[in-house]
Amino acid sequence: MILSRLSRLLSANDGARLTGYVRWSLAYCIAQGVTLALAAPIVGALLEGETARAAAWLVPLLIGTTVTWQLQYTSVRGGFEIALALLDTLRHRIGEHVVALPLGWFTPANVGRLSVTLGQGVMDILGLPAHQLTPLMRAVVTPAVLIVTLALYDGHMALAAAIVTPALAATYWWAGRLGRSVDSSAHAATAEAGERMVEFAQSQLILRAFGCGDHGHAAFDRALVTQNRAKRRQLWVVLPPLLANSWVAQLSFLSLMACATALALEDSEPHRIAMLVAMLVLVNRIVEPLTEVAIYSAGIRMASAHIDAVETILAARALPVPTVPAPPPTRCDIAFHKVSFAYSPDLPVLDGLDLTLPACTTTGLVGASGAGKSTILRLIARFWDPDEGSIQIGGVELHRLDRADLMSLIAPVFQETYLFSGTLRDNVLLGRPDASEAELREAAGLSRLDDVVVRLPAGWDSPVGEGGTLLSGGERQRVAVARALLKGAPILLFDEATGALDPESQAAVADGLRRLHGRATMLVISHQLETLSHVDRIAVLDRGRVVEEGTHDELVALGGRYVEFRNARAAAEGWSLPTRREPARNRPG
Amino acid sequence: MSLLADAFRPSRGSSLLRPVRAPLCLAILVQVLSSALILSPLVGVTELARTLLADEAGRSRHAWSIVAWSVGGLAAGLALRGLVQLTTHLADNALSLHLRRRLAERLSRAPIGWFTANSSGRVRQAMQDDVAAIHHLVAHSYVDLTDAMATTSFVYAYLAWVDWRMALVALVPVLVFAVLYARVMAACGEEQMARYGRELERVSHAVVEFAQGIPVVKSYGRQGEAHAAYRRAVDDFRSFFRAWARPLIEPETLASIAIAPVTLLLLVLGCGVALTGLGWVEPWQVLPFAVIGLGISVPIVTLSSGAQALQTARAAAARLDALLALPVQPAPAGRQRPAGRELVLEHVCFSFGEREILKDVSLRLSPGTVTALVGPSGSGKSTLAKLLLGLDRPSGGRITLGGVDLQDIETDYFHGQIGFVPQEVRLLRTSIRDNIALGRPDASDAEVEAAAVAADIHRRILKLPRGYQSVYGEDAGLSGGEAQRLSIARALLLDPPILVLDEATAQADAEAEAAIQDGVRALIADSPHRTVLIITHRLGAIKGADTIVVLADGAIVEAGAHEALTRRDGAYARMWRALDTSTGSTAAA
Repeated sequence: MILSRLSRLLSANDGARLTGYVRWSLAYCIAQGVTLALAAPIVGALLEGETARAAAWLVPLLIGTTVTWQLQYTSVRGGFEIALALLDTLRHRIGEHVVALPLGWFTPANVGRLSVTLGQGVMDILGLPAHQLTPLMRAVVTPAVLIVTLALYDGHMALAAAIVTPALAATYWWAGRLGRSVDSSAHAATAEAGERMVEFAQSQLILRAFGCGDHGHAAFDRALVTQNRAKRRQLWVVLPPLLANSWVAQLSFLSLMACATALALEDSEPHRIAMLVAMLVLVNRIVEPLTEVAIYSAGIRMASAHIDAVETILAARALPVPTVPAPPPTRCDIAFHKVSFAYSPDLPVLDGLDLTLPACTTTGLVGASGAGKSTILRLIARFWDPDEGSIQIGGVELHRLDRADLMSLIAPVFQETYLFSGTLRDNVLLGRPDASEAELREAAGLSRLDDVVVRLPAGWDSPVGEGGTLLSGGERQRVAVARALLKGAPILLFDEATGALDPESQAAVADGLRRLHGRATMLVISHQLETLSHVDRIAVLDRGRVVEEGTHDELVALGGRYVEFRNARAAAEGWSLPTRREPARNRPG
Repeated sequence: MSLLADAFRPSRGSSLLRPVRAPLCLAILVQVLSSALILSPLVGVTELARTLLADEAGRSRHAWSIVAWSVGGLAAGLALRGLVQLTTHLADNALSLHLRRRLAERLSRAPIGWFTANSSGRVRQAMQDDVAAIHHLVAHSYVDLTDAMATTSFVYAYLAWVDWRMALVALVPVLVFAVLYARVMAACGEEQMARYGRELERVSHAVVEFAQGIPVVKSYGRQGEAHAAYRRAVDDFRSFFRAWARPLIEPETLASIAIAPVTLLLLVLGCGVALTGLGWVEPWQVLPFAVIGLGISVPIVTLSSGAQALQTARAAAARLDALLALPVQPAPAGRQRPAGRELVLEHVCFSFGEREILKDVSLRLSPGTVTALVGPSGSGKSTLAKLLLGLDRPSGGRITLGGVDLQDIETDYFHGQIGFVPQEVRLLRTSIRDNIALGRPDASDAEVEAAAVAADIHRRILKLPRGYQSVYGEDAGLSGGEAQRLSIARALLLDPPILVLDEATAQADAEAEAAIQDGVRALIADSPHRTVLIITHRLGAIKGADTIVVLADGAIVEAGAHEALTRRDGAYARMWRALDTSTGSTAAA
């Protein structure tokens, strides 16, 4: 039931408030029904010419009206409070849940759904109590009350009115069933199209460079057309029951009119005739709200689809959190013990990996792409849990650590640098929001970000653009390195952190990192073996296992995989573009 | 009735609705007729009451004919209404697709810089949410408003005909409502709605950013908290919404109480009893007020909520109009297809905002030559590539191909002439095959595979679950290096006379790099007349280039062949020395 689902999204306190709100609304609907029912005796008395009796009935009408007003006011206020409570809770709750999900959850489809849900979705859920539930209640409860009071006046008329309800219920049910059948496909098509729109905007450079500028790529237009078709199908399916609902309701009015006519024609007693006519006044109050039932139910269905989406997101399993977290380790050595991991079951990435990174040493990781280097880094950051084996920092299993403790230990720089729109300063301060200006400058100096700051017109306050697109690849990498250094974590993880830098800056950053040597446990992944020349140890990775390990000199002496790698690298370095001139083979100096 | 005039003006000077103007106007006219017909049973009830209460001969025949007329009128009215709804919904469905495509078309001609400075969230909001608001306008608002206005007018005209004094009294609540509701509407003006749109947009933008930067959020955010920018956007939205909506609750509720059925009932019956007592009205004259007067709240509420929907739609329309009025990058004026292949930059300048990125760059790229562009990160190398590709226009100077300004060359022809491997790999969520064939969708499978083989990614693709049909981001996950190779295959397939490689090998490891270079080598070798521009940091790889251009701070500081530049002992030689320092130990080993 939609109410209990709503209440589950709220805190216990607000949940109780929701129940209270529903009670007030119910009382309001009943009071309204009872008050409206008083129209019959008043109109009846008037038609009979008994003005005094009609006037006497005005007193209960006045009381009923005042009570209804009061209840309506209370109910509306309550609805608004519920809406605010939902607004307060929902977005934060989902955001906090999502941040604890494993990285694999963030597929384009899920991100698209998340964005819709947190934007318009939340707004639709918000309006549900006040804009859908109460009107629906009013459309059902008030007529029901009127039918009951009708029975007090005339059994036949009440029966005739009651007979209509099953037909209405049937069209209501029909509308819901048909609606649900097409809603899910329309939702899916909308989410897909939304995702394509984001992709379209983000891929403009490549789309235009390849001449797909005019219309975007085929899949984009296809998504638009599919969304359009799904909506049209939804229209053809949803419109008929909606129309049928109002037909049935309106026709029921006519049947009651006919019923009253037939009864009145048989009778000759003026009192009875007056009463029958007066009852027709009520009949319209029964029929009209019922015509709206299907409309509200459509609104509720739409909002409940958003609730579905919220529930799906909240049901996604986060990485398990320890109930009693282990105390944060004091040493910062990292140990992989027989770790196996696969992103998809058929493609193992790590296969029984053993690797130890002694505290306060620098280890280089070498291996072909797909060998599992980045995966090792991500597992240390606990973006996933290994399928088998254990990973420990300072002898404590990662999954026994509190997330915050773990995150305070590590500062990773990822291969794909991501910056948030905001200023250069914002992005670096993400590492440690309370860092002093001096610390900020030190990190900028070590990462060579200071060069960028000087070059940009607004310096530290220059905007970086969405995803950092206003900066070049190399500039972004410097920001990411500065961010990591500023954090001052005892474990630093670099995944191709300087790949996009020019040699001069690369050398300077490498120099900066060397200064941290002995102060932090560092893991450096690099394709450029020269950046690893100064590290304490190098581990060579192949097919998810460490095949060689040792210092640079030891590995060179070994003459194995590492040397093969170096030779390939040397070939790449020595390789020059084929030209129609005599190629230069030798390096200067 | 200023509301009427206002209602049919979605946005000043907007042409958004032009395609559906004819069906909309027709629907509105038919709706007026339908509204009148649907009222027939209500008028019928009054007439029925008079007939039944009058003790005359033939009242039975008369009564049944009234019922028959009511049935006929209602049925016709409902049928017409169904027709109207179908018409508007179908018109809207066509309009939505039309608008989305128009937006896509416009956006794909907007300056490329617009996309880096603006968020993809904005595109998505326009295409999805704003178009949906227009949907509401076309499919619902206009017809609903017409219905409400026609019904109200007909009802009061009829009531005034029955008794003008009572009709005036029945008008009082409507006036009270109008006064109170004006306060609500004042707070929902264009400005406020635009602000609402902006705040909502900020939230959905923050969601996309939050999700895309999740690795950074996870490792740099605080425990159990979503990304700070997201939380800020959410909190700001909440404060805005509270401050905006809370003061509206009271006038809104009082307004709805003013026209509540119980209010009208009390008023109409009180007044009716009084006037009947005074002998000013006949008892039967009170009946239509009780029947119809009670229902007046429904069209009034429709009018008011419709006016609100209109505001929303107007804000959406304004946003859409703004997007559709984006300055477009002037399409190539000419349709020339120059025979020459020489690409020449003459005194090219480029600024982005206040930042001067390129300063007076002159460069000649001749067929059959390889030019290498080197320089520190942020020196303007990638911007130069964008200008060469025609993605941005120089703010000063000009670029010519075969002596013809890029502006005068037919777009399709130009795209066939120049291939591009961007610094930032961007793959689309579509099949691997379509990703490679982006620039040449009609390429044969054999050609696509040949390109993949040349970029050394063919074997990897075959290992994907569905080979070339695997969809990137769904069942095809690729590492950074692998994605890079796919991006190279994309350019190779185009087999263009001019090739621009922007740090093409930044993310590939040594083995992959060698493989890619083999591919590029083959590409250059098999087509001796190809013009190649390679942007890189790998000095070793470009020693053989015909010309090496050193860019610093947006200006060319040196240009020439490797030997000549080395002899000059300038910026280029300094870069080599920096490289040698950083790799000193490797070289020594």
